[in-house]
Amino acid sequence: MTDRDARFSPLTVLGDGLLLLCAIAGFTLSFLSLYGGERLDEFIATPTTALDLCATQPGILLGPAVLFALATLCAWSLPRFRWAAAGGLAVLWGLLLFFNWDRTVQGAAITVRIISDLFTRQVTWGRAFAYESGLTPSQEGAAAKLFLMLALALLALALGWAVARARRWWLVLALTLPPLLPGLLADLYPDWPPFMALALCWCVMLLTDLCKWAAPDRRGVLTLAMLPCVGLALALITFAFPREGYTRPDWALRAEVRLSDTGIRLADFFAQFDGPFHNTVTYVGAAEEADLAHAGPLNYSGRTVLRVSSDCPDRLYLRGASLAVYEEGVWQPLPQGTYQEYLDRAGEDASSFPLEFPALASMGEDGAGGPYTATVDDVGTAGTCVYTPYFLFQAQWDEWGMLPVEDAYFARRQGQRQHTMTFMQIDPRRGLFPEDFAPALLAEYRDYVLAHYLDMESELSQYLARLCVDGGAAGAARYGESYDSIQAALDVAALLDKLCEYDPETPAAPEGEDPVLYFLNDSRRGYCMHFASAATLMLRSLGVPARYVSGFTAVPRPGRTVDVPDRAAHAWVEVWVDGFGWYPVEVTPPAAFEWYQQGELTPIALPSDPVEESDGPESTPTPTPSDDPAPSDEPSQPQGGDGEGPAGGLDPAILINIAKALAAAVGVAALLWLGQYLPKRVRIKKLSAPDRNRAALDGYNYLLRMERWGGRVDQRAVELAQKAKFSPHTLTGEELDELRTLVDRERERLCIVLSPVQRLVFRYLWGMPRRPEPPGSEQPPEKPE
Amino acid sequence: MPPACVDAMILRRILYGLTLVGVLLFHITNENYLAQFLLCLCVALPLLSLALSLPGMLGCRLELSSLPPALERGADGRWQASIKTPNGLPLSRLTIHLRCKNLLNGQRDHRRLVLSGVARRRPVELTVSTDHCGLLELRVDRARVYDYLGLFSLRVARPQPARMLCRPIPVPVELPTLPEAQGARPSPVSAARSGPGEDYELRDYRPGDPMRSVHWKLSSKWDELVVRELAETLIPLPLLTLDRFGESDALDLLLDRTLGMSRALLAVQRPHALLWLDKDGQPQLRVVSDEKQQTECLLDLMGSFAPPAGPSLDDHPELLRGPDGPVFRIHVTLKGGDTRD
Amino acid sequence: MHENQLAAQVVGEVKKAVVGKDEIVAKTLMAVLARGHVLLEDIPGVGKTTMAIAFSKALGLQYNRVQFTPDVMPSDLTGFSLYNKATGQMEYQPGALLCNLFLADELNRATSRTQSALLEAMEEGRVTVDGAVHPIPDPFLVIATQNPTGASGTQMLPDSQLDRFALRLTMGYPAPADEMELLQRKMRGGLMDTVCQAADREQLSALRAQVDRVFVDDAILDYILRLIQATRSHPQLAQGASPRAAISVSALCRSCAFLRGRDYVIPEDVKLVWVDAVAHRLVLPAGSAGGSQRAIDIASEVLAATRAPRLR
Repeated sequence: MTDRDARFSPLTVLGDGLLLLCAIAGFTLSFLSLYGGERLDEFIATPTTALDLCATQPGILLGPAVLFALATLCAWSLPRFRWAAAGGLAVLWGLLLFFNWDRTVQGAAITVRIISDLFTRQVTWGRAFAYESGLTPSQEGAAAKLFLMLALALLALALGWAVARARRWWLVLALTLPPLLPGLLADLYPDWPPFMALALCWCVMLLTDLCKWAAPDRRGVLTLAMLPCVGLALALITFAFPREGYTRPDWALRAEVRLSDTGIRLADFFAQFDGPFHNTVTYVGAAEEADLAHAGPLNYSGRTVLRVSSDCPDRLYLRGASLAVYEEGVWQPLPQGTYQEYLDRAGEDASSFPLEFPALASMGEDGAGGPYTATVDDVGTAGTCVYTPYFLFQAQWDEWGMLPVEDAYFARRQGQRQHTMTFMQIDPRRGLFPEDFAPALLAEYRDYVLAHYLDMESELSQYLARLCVDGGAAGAARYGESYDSIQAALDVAALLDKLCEYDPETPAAPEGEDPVLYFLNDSRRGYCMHFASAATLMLRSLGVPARYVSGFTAVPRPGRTVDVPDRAAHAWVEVWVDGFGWYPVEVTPPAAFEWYQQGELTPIALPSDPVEESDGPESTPTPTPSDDPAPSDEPSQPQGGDGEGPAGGLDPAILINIAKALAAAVGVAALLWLGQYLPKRVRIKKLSAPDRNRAALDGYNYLLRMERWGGRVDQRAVELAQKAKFSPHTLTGEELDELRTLVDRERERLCIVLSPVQRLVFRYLWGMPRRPEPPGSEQPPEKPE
Repeated sequence: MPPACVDAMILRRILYGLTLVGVLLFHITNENYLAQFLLCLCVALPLLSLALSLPGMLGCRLELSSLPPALERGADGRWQASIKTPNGLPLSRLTIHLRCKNLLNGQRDHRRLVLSGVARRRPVELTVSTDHCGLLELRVDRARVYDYLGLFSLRVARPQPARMLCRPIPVPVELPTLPEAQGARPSPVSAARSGPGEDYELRDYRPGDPMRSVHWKLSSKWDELVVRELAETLIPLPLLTLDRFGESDALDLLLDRTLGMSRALLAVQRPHALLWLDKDGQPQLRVVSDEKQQTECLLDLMGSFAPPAGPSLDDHPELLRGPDGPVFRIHVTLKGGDTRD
Repeated sequence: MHENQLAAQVVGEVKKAVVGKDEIVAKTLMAVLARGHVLLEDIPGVGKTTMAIAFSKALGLQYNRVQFTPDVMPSDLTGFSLYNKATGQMEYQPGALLCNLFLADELNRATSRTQSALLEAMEEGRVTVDGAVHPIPDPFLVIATQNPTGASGTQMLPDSQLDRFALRLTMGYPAPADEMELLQRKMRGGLMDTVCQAADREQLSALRAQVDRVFVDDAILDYILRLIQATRSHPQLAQGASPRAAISVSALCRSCAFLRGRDYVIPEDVKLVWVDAVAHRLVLPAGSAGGSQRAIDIASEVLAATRAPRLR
């Protein structure tokens, strides 16, 4: 304790002071540059915020913060009356807060609003914080300044304690890192020199951690010696690996792909052991929703999600799940039980799945291409649906290991990720149903489609219909003939191409705006999700039944397996063609292709020539072959759980893996801790049990357990145990204490004698810590012998 | 000193490993510059720490000493371990495994010393258990010094072991009647000495005696051959014998008595000898004529292992020999000196 | 514990005469305190008789000795009635058994009939002569010696006879050092003269009462019973230990615990007395070789194979 208290030495104060200055100044400037400053302008032309004001004049904040830091340093370094001095500073701070309470609270709210605004623009997980202060921008700036000043003063007080008094590096880290962490995670960058100053403080504190209780002057010397060295090291790292022109190295990319593949394989490996009936067919999962409202800029890692091999030379649209209901910017499946209505009405006839209709319709026709086979190996999608090419032919669900779920998608059998399917390319103009094919069934399903796939808000419908008519896309909109619905879709696609621009970096629509309207009217930029959503709704407004589909596109190379990266995720539209079924239409402009190709790890070979030319110049993005160079666009992150695969900056699969690993680590740590703690508790409890004979026997048994580790069982302990067991007496408290002492002594001895590994096991798995344990608190009254 | 142990170092290594893996994963899954910077920092910090601490780690020296070098059983004694560092920077952490052994009864005591932030000249003191007498020896089994992050460690050269003599407490004993007090053995011919200062002994002639030793004068007078021999020392040397084995407590008592007896003999200016059997059954004989020799003798007596049971000198009467000349055997037992000729 | 010191004194006195046989002496004392009889089996001249006499002196017991030969008659032991002309009544002439310590030397040389005369005295502590019951003074202790089976002029003791003895002990030759000591002491004077009385009969009774108060835990009783049971089911035995053996073992355990300064029995006590208390009661199948040594081996085997109550 003497070392700890006699800590006053000029060298120490100097070292601590430098550390504290680094910490407080580094933190202040990093914070301001992180959340304020001109980088906001890149995204949106907002008026300069209060934080920007602060950032332009950092001295206003920095000066008081440094002053307060120095004051706290002096207070904490006093040889005595430290707590009084620090308390005085705290009172001073409290008074400042008290007299500026309202302004400070306003400032706090303003700061939070600014930061959350930043986040909603920057990342998908940001949530807006609505606050109207009713102040002018300059007043807001002043309020925010006041709040930040007070907050920094409080931080300085705490940092002074952490640096000069507690000397715990993780305390400093815990005080300074959390406010910066959200910004860092949201890919914002602080100014580098101040951030390095902060890092310097962290590193020096970490390096001197083991010497924190050395003689005060020595510690000061060490700190002063470390500061330049560590500073130099940080500078070297910065210069050796400059931030400018940084791109993620290839090995990291590859490692990520490898990691996620391994993770999925492992998950599958373990999934096959699930439950006692894993050989029975179980189908898992369901399509959930696609959230357009919060879809921010696209962000992909480029890792492989599917592996496809097929003998079909053309681009495949691998269909995931279709969604029917659009509500407040979110695509959702039809409510539960809706499909049951159709099944009930169709009765026995409903043996065919609606997705089979096109194949059934083409039976006996020559115009169809194929049949082909495709093998889709799902190595990394998060959802539970099977990605199927158009149009499945002679489907044998059981054999293929999948199950149609309503008319929306195929669920895969649990544990199975590889599916081989046969399919055909069918042109709806040629492959209409034969007249005699189950007319009742078709009619029922058509009614069902008309009832549910035209559904939308009437206001929106009117608005969109007018938009289409104005844009000249409504020319062909006469529902009833198959040709027309496809033509209508192509017209709408052309209109969208004219209206809007493809941009994968499109930020999320502001809160409260309908994302489709915002896309069509305001931002006029978007990617496949926006295009597909808008097209679906516009088609519905024209009376064409349509639905939103998400999936992947891929160009297989015959005889080879093609890796489909997460970038190939895509969304398109399916329109209803009478007498045929659902027919997919590409509505995203071809510009998407360019973005898609960059940074692609294993580029998908493109068809050299559009295989099939269709009627419109704009192409019918017919099932497989598409005329656009590469209509492979990207859906965006929050596709929900519907098999859309990657989302956000981090793929959910990886997130889940990381979470699992973390959980496992935490579990192991908890087990280790429990392994030490519980036996110790149990032992203490046992050794101080009210029945002293029982306690003595338990103590003796602990000795026996230790014997296996090379412990010695004292003869006296044996005698006491025998007395406890076989005699009619109750051991006296002294005798029990004697036994406890023997147990403790032996445990301490073992802890020293054992090899480190054994000791670790001994301590953590057997719960035999070295420190002596408190004897039982209550001694039972002596029993008469 | 905060409670710390080597396990904390293992924990540090594990934590560092986890951090490194975490940062690596972060770098793999995140495309930002910060991830790379973190990874670089994570790799560079241990190297930096090693570079900074290496001079101190390489140059640190350990020294052991005992204070005082000799003391009586039960007195307060201390071991001192001093650490020398080459520069003014403190060492981050030293773990020293010490083994204190009583050479006489073989009791061992392991201790582990964990020192952090060592920069002071003041030696570290350890208590000595002086419950039993014997020659105590403190050795460093192993010592390691760590770098500032606690990830790397180096072995520290082992210093010379320190020794401390834990003497028995001499108990006052009653000296048996020594042969001197009984007077010299009466010689029938003492009056017939042939010269001053020379003691002769006369005895009957036995075949083989050299002719020159025949005391012709007396022979003619007595009418039988008488032989004259230089008389051996008349005062036999007191020979303290002890069976140096037994449990520690018994040994303590025995040594107390032996030392008491030896002191008492020295007090009456009687040089004497000590005889015991070592653990291999070899006789060990030491002559004690002053305090210094006594101390040396104690060092020998207590500096080797005494098993709980061993051969008794009683079983080997042939070993009961003094350095030369006749001896007066005093067998020291737990109960007292048992005089035997 | 005062009584315990007394016991130690008795042992000390006996040891003056019996050199280097501490265990045998202690065990004999155990049997004395447990109200049991002792059978010493050994070759002549190893100190069997000396020990018996030393005990009688140390305990202040009245001591009778009979050297058994084929012509010793039962009436020599039990006594007989004689017509007294003066009173005109039959008067009982006490036999050799009417004493506290009866030393039956070379018991197996006597005829079966004579041997059987001992049975009642050993079990009931009384003799019946001509229908009249004569109590033998308490304490009563028989120390019998027998030469090893097969020695010339001997016959086997019957099982019923053997079963009456609490312990069968074998003295064996003394160690060389002890023998030397023995000779030295012998030269200094009569060994037996140095033995003094350490206790009287009342004190012996008090000691026995103390032993009776020693506590035996159920776990220990269970252990003894399991041991006994194991002898009965042992494949190499014609006949296992009798219930009397169980009683005898538990009594011996108590005195063993008492002598070791405890007032409760621990499994080690059982282990200590087991072989000596049981081996002679085991009946080997006819024609099996090895004799008493084989029985001792089997008893040890059973002891090793039976799990002692654990300290849990």
